[in-house]
Amino acid sequence: MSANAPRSFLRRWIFSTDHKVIGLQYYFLALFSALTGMVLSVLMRFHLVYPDARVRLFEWLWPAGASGGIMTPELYLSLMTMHGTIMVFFVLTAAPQSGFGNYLIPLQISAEDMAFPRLNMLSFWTTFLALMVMLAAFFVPGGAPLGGWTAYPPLSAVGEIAGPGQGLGMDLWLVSIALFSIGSLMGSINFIATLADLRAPGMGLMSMPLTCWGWFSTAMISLLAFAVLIPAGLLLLLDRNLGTSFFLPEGLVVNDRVLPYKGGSPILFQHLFWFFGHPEVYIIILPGMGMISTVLSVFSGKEVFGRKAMIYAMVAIAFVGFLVWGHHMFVSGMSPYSSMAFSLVTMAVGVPSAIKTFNWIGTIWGGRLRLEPPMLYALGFLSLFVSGGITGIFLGQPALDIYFHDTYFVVGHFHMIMGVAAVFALFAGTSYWFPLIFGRMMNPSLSRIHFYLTFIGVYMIFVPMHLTGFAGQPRRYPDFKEFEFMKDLAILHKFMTHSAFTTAAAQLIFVLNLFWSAWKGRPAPPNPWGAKTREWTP
Amino acid sequence: MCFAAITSAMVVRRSLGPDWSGIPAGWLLWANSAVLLLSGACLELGRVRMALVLGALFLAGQAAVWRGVEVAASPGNSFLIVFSGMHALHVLGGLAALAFAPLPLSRIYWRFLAGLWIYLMLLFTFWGNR
Amino acid sequence: MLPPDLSYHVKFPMLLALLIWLVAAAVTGLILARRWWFPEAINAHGVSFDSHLAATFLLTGPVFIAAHAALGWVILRYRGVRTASGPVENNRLEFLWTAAAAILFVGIAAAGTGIWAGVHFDPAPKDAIRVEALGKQFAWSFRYPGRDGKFGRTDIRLINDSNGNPFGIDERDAAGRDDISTAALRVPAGRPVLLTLRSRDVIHNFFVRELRLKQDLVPGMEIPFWFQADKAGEFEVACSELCGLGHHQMRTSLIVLPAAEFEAWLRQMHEQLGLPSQPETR
Repeated sequence: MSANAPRSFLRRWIFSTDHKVIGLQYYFLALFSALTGMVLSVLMRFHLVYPDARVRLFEWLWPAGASGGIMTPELYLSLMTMHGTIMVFFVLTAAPQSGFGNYLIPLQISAEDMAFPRLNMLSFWTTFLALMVMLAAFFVPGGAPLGGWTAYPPLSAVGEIAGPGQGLGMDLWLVSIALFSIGSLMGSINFIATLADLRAPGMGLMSMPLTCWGWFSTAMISLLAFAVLIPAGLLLLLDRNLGTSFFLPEGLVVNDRVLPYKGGSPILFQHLFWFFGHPEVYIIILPGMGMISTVLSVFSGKEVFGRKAMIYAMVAIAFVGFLVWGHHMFVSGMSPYSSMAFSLVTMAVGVPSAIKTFNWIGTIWGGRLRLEPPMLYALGFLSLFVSGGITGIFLGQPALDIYFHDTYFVVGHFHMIMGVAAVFALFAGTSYWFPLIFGRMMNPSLSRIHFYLTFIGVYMIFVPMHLTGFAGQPRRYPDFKEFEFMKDLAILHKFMTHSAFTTAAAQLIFVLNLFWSAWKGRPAPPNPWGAKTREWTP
Repeated sequence: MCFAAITSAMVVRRSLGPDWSGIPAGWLLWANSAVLLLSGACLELGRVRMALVLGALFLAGQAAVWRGVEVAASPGNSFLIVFSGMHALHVLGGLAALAFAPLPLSRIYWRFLAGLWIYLMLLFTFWGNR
Repeated sequence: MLPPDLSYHVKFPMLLALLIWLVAAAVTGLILARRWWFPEAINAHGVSFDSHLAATFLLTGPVFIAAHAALGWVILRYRGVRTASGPVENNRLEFLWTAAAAILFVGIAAAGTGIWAGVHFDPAPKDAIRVEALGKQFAWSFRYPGRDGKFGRTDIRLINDSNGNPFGIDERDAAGRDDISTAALRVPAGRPVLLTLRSRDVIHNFFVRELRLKQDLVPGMEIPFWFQADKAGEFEVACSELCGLGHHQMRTSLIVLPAAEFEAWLRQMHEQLGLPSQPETR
């Protein structure tokens, strides 16, 4: 730290403009959010196999949503909505990009700090405010919204007549997302300016580390994508509160009331939302791809295979990722001709991801493999990324999506890629850069146990989920009692729930390891892994 | 991209049915446009305080426009509010930043806001009210 | 740098590699076993779907297996070696696998276009039976046009669920007086059915697993959708777009009847309406 470093605790650790502090603030915000989201998912999984259970805790927490201790459909749907929202935004968008990126970019390019340190601080606190507003939705009358993280109108637009959480809770959700988007935009501007302008002399764009390329391409698509989410949310907010009809057609009859809207289109919302929503998943995975490339390379003692191709692939994914949003809307009532076009481009965007996978294998091929914990997570990532990516080939074809849309096959697919592979990249990054950040090593035995339990656990959760998808089981059902064909799937759900309980519990090992090692871990040498990037060898 | 998204939403909305009745771009909106461009001119000439005053006047003028428009009465009204409201938010931020941002940066931003507003007025006049 | 501890490099790679192979084997086995699987298809489209699904598995399955086999093999082969010896670049290989991926991915999608076209581009056959489907929170209604072959005018203000008028059929329109509203969808086997999908409130989705067909019902839109069921039976219809608190209870049946039974049912419905029963002329 420079000689003018602020002395007060508040300026050094809370309202800091230091990129390292801000990076850690984002990381721990994401960690807290992840644990919250995980608890929500455990509650969901519990309800799906024990829908009639009376649980005192539920009644105490949610007297209206769980009177008598039995979780109502509205409570289940709101837990589900918040699980998805918190995980996608406050964990997967915050940690890989803003957490790791803020900490490491200046170190990797030999800059003093990010280009706009005060804007950086503002972006974190905006994100923090967004989280507070989001969590507030749990505590207001009516509770949290229940339309899924995708919030399709008219369901999300008609207000409380659709369900208790669809009143104030839904408005808070929209405000939170708007704040989060603004925070993201500020962060993106900072990242782009920093990586474009503050690289060390002699470091051309192509010689920038792959991690920086991940953050760079992510920042660029983040800027364009979040800028579209804001109007989507704004127009929905207006429909809900000012009587406009952007997304609401004439003739809606809800709860025996004829609603006064006129001329809007529900599909318009889906277009705006997914124009953001698809690039969002690349925002989630691209930083992780950069980190995995780094870890695989260091622990194979080899340069990344096909480094240039890796860069081009990331840029291609970022760019083409803007042209595929319609594959979320094949059966939405959108023109079937558009569906064909979107399908073709969706298949095309799979190609750079395939290239990256081949190159990752090429990186470890003929390497000198050291199976330290970061490498375990990275190798696990490869398996998970292949598994999750392959189911994309099924979903990207409307001919098959006409069965799979809105089934558990989709839920399995996106959890494998986002909920698992992207998180393994976070685990790899955490254990890899921990010595740099805290000057200590994470306990390797605990890390290994965590890795094996989690790797096995996630397959035990999500493979059966794909099987229920084959059987055609729809998603977002609070229980399965109505349908004959779902009876045969009960055993899979039991298996998934118990696997989820175990895997969730195993994450405590990671959290314990993280905190304990930061305080009492074995002191680390300056470059314990023998890495070559500048953050280790300034 | 934000304004591009709203533009595409408006194009789609108009194509959905015969109930498009144009965008109410009255004289006050034109007057405000002049005020905004004047504000930009002041900034170009380095007269920051004048630019700030004119910017604030622009926002007040926009507020007056909005008072006269019922947002849900027609799709054209709705989009006018959304477009000009979003733009005004950006202007507000720019005014706040004028206080501490370096002048060249503010100039660039003001040019963007002015250019955006010109685009919007053209959109309203030649596409919205055709 | 930390001193390399080679003992665990020898033990653990075995464990990791085996685990990776085990995962791949388990996934492959579960899919091949088809214990939890698609129900039998009851239409020609469904049969085509199943073929294309198989083709997609044939493409992706070996890729999945090969990737995991390679991953496990690399871990075993290169554990504890002294120096890294592999290449860091091979442009020819890059080009080859890029081209292969592009051709295979785009190819499999192209191969499926006929199936999509069959559902959405081919117009319904002229002799298709017309039915309207209405989704509302949280029930399905279907409407048959009666012997005049015309659907009567509807008005949302006339909707009366408890009186059996979920569509809001206008009594004053003669065409609507013989419309038949039902809660389940009855169709004859072996004849095409043109379903027009409408929604009264929020987005719903019509999904029949055995037909391998799914389509959103969007308020403000009337979406045509045709199919032909060839096997008799009763099949569950599950709403597949979150529509609110009762989404999981929005269930009805697709009842496919042999042609004669369907005619008999239709006749019976006409009688119940008080119309003289005459055989279907179409």
